[in-house]
Amino acid sequence: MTLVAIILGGLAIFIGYHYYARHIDRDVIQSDPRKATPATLYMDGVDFVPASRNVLYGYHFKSIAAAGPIVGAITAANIWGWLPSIIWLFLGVMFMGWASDYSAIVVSVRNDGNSISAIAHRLIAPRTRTILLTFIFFYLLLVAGAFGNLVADVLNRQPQVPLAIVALMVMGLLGGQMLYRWRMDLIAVTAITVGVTLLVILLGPAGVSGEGAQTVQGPVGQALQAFDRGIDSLAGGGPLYGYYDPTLPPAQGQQPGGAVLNNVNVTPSFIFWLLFLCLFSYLGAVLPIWRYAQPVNYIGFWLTFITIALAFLGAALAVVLNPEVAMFRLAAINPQRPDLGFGIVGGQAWQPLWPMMFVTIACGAISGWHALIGSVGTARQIENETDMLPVGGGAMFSEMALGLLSLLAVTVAGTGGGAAAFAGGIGRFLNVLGLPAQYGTALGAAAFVIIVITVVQLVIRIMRVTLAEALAERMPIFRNPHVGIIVSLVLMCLLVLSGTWVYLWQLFGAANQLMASLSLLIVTVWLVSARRNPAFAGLPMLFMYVTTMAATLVIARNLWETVVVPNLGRAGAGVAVGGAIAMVLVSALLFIAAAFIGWDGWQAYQRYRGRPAGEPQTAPARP
Amino acid sequence: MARGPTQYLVFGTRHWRARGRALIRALRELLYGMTGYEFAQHARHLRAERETLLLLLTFGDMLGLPILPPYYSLRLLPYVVPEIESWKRRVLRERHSLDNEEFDLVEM
Repeated sequence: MTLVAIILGGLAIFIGYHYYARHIDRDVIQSDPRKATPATLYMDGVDFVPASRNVLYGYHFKSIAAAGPIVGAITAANIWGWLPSIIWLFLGVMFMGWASDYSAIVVSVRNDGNSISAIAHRLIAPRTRTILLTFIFFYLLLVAGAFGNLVADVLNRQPQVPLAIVALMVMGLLGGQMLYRWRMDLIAVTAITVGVTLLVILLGPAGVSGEGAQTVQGPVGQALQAFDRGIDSLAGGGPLYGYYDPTLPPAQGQQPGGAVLNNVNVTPSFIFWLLFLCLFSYLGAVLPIWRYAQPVNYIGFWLTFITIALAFLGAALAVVLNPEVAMFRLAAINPQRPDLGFGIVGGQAWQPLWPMMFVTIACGAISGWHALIGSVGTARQIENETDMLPVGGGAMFSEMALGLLSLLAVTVAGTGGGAAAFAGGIGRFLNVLGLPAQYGTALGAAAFVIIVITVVQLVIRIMRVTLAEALAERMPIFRNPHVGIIVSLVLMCLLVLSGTWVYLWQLFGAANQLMASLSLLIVTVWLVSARRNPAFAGLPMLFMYVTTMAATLVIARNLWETVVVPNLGRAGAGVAVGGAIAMVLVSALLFIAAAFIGWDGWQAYQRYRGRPAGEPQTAPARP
Repeated sequence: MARGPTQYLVFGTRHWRARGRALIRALRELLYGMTGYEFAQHARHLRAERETLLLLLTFGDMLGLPILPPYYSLRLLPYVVPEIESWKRRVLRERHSLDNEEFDLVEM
């Protein structure tokens, strides 16, 4: 089955790219190698710099591919089963994902390299830009909350991982020093920093014996377990507080129809690892980017790249070398949701396939964040209009492959969900290549945490800037970067400690997909203004707009009915209730903001449709 | 002149060699794009920041800043002339609020 899925994925990429995407590029956009691009027209040696299509493809792919496609795919496979998830991955990227990424680059290239929000300001309405900025802030907050929860949880539960993160921090600082201060060769810096971090990761599982619940940790794991126990003993070995999370199995002793019992306990060691994440992110946000965040990101990229590439190879070879590994252990359709989640039960989480799966798998199929990166960065480096498709569309198709691998990893692992299942699946694939399972699993877990933690530190960095942009004029205290960082970290911790991770992830997915539909809306209006057929952007925009608006309502309903109501008045559940109410408010805000942009977009669509033919956005001829 | 079968073979070998070289070059560029390019880009940004500072202090009047042109600016002028156009374009360009942030590093 693994090989069949890989072949089908390859076919989806081939058909989507060669037939549909090329047709749009040739006949609708009419990319022209003779037209000057902003990179050649406004070359300033910094932002506007023409780059080769291969370099730019690598750069754009690295900028968009990481934690999003991995986490979304493994979460959806556990909620609905692998079959609907894989279908959405294939169809989403074939008809929507590539169109969103590619068209954001096109519209920017054809509009002097302006970003999507600047174009929205001109084409749709001035307030659209302000609303998009608000969107970006809450989007970042949700990313930080969802990923922060994941990181703290894995660091707390898997004692082999924290040492790897400490090594990453040290190597990141050293890497920045070696590259920018000592001016060492990049290859040497890569060999030292990545090599040492990899060694430390593999040191974690050394000496581990047994499997599953009978696992006996090696020296590193035992030391970290003793450390965690020491911290927990500060609160007498018990939890600090507990609450009821409807997305997790019920607590032991829970009677049907009886009083709801806490099934989540927040321990001092969890708080400690959350604070550790805050420190990691604080360094990333406050230090110059070259000193810490960039080298940490770079080391993380190599570790992930090595792990994913080897896992892909193992998955492909498993059919020949070890067919048992390639067997799917996860059900095609989750047997606990034979109705695909459409049935609604009062007081329980409602997870209908539509719209919820379409926001749970976000980045692997379509993502609004890509549009932002494409229009702010990549579009200004496009040397030739014919490079727009291989760079924008090609990178998105490649990202789907990453989502597919994550889905396969969790499907062959079969049990449980989240980071542990992903790491287990990666361990099985690497085992095909001869790496002992415990090392492969540790590598999978470390790679997972590293790509997530590197995103969190940069998200906090950008949140600080966004806060300063929005509030500094009225509240000058936000000019101080430390204030912005601390506020961002406190907000992140509130979301993390309020629990209900699945809702948080889905809300993030909804914000992400709403950004994608808003970006497609801007592209649609631009296509109409340029008298071109807007269907390739307009139809996905309509689908994603309706889907994500519906999803925000379902998430708000779930939060209210399954978190706020059962936890209200429960001792110690104040943070859970406060966090859930905050998330309901964020859902409402996203809904209202999207409604405003949708209305403005519709007005702009009508305005341009009635205008005489003309193409004001066409770039001049290449000099 | 008609080509014999050996010539076709030679032509074919060359053709495949050229394609092989192009493929290796493309892979190298791809790897560079995924690894070293972001450092080169950041180095360009750092250099531009310092360059902007220097040019603002010496030639700020070109952007409308009330700086009296000192004697040393005139001495520097011949060296600065090639950079002036792109510098003015860079500094005076309308910017997105988050333009200077490293969106590309937030890999999502």
